[in-house]
Amino acid sequence: MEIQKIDAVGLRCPHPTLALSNATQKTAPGTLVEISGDCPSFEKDIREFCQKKKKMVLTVNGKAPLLTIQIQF
Amino acid sequence: MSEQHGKPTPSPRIGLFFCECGPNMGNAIRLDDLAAQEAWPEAAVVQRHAFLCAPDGKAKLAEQVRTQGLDRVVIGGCSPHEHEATFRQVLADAGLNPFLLQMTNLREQCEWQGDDDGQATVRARGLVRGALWRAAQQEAVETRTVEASADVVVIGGGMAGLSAALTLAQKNRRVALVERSAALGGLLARLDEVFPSMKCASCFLEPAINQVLDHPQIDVLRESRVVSVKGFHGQFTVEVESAAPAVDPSRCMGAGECAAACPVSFPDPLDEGVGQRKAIGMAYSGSLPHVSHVDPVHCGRCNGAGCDGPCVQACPMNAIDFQRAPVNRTLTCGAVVVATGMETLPVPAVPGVISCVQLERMLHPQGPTSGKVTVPGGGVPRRVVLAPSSEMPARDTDLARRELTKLAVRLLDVCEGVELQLAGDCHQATLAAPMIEQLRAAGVAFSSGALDPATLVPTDNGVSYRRAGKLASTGTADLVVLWTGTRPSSTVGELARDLHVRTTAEGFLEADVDLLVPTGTRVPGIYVVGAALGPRPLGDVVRDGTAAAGRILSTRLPGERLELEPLAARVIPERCGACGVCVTACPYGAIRTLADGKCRVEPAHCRGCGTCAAACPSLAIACPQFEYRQVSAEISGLLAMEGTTRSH
Ligand SMILES: Cc1cc2nc3c(=O)[nH]c(=O)nc-3n(C[C@H](O)[C@H](O)[C@H](O)COP(=O)(O)OP(=O)(O)OC[C@H]3O[C@@H](n4cnc5c(N)ncnc54)[C@H](O)[C@@H]3O)c2cc1C
Repeated sequence: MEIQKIDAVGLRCPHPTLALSNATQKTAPGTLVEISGDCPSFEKDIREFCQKKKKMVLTVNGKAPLLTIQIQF
Repeated sequence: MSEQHGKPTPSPRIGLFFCECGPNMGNAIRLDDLAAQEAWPEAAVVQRHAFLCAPDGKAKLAEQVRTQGLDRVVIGGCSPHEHEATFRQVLADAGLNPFLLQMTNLREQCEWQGDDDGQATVRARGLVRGALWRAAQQEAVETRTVEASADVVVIGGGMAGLSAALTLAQKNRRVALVERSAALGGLLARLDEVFPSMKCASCFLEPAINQVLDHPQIDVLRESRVVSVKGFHGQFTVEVESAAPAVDPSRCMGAGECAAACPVSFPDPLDEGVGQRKAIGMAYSGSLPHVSHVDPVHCGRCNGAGCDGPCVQACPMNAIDFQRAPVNRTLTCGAVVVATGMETLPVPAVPGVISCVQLERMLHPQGPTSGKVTVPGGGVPRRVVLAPSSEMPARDTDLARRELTKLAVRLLDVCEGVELQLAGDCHQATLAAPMIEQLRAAGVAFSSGALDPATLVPTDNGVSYRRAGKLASTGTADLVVLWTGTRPSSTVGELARDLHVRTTAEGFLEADVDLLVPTGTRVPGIYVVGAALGPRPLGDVVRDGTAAAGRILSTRLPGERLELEPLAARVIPERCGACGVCVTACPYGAIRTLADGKCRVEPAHCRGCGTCAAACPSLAIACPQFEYRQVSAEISGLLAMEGTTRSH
């Protein structure tokens, strides 16, 4: 299965969410997106974004602050 | 004396009541003479009472109004400031229009002036006669009510304004948030990490901004300014002008193609010139809402310098259009929260000397230097001095110490092996003990004294400086970080005048001294929060915003009705020459010139002060209770007094 990867490591909020939003403008529904980041509010922001856009968070992996989140679009 | 201004005809039944004010009256004034029934043919009833304002006095007054069929009441006693409201209520409770009352102040104006060979009684008689003659001309005044607005206008979108707006909206109040700049967040949006938690500033600012932008109860008006505020608690009218939106925010994706195409580049004021910006683009990297805006001062299309607008072609979303016009709105609200914050003073233009804001921007991973701190020639700083400027206002002291201490901790973190000196008694910063310990353990030198900006001189290997104070010393460093000072928002003076809110000598807005109404001002319904009150840390700013919102939620309820000023002035159109003198004279901006050329008083904004009536050269403004015939009847009564010589 193809995974779209986004690297947001080193970016402060709201940049990880903005990066996710920009990079997935044309992402087809059903695609698996994986974003990694290390901002303290990274997980919270991505979860909020997914809730708003009705995307499903599948997994949150890693050791804080460096986390990788998988999302089904 | 004309017939019209003469003695009252017997038709009104006037009750005349003298109050002895306990032991306060009757030593200078001879009350037995003054209060004799036969002395006052104008009055149907004449009585005296020991305490008219006490419960039995009020009951007696009400009973007399009812049983004697009185339709006017004159009270000779204390000042109307003291008890006019009390006695108006008695009349209303007795079924009489409260404005059919006339008080005359015998206590301060006669009794307490002393007896001058019986003159106190003579003067009192004149005042009472004036009051009686005036009372006969008095008319009932109806009090109108309007529905109060429970909506709120918040001016300023920094952390203080955001906190107030969110707290109000959570309880379903409609809020209009008026922000001067293109982005929300204020000063906090420029910071890297914040004390005391050392959390990244955007980590808590961004969720707050997002909530505000998404909230259905909050309208965010960016690039907007308040043109005028009129009215009173419950009924303010706020005129807001918003800049022409060259970028359509519903289309802009924040891609930044416009900024890349823009030919104009200038030092970015947001980071005090550390980086450059374009005349179109994001307010700052990651600014929310994430849309571009145009700087009209630098944009060639806007300032007349000429530009064919490559940004318009570059935008993939077709979002840019320079033909749009500014938007004016009139908002109605019950309360206004002023959260206009503060600004920082610039640093002297000496290479190697930077401000705290500049260092914050350098430290920010998405700032102009991507988180790198460098010295003018390039390379990392080896020796850094952090200090307040000797010109810093005293009110900044604690915030400056806390900020400089925080920046020292951050520098230790990012500049390996750096030698730090912290001047200005930063070890006294409040709530900074853990940071100070950490710095001491790392060998950071603490000292007293501020740096005199005039002594900062560039040298071959950095900057030389002089530390003021008892232990004055000189030294050199390759980077000097200076807290220069703060000042109120540049636009706040105008706003304060319009709102009738007091300012301090430095121009910060002043809250009321009433400790039980934190953030309240002397104008009911107007609150000031955050750094608009003077420099303070974020915790206080958020507390202010929430406190003001709490006051508004508990004092202004949806559906409430409000009494309009019963004594509001009225223009008599037949006499009005439309000269507009009243429009400029009115301290509350309550008078406008209408399309028909006549002036009109807006009853919801008038406070009944009478300034307009006095200013009008055509006698075209009537003030209830202060009509010409009422005032001249009182003067005629006063001048008809016997036994005194007229001095003028
Ligand atoms: C260098 C520096 C570092 C700091 N570091 C910390 C820290 O680490 N921790 C901490 O607790 N505190 C810190 N502070 C203090 C903190 O930043 C402020 O207390 C806080 O940001 C003030 O918020 P505010 O909303 O009151 O004002 P501001 O942030 O100044 O916001 C005011 C807003 O109102 C807008 N505005 C102004 N005039 C008008 C107008 N006429 N009409 C419409 N809008 C208007 C402005 O554009 C702005 O958006 C620091 C301050 C400075 C200067």
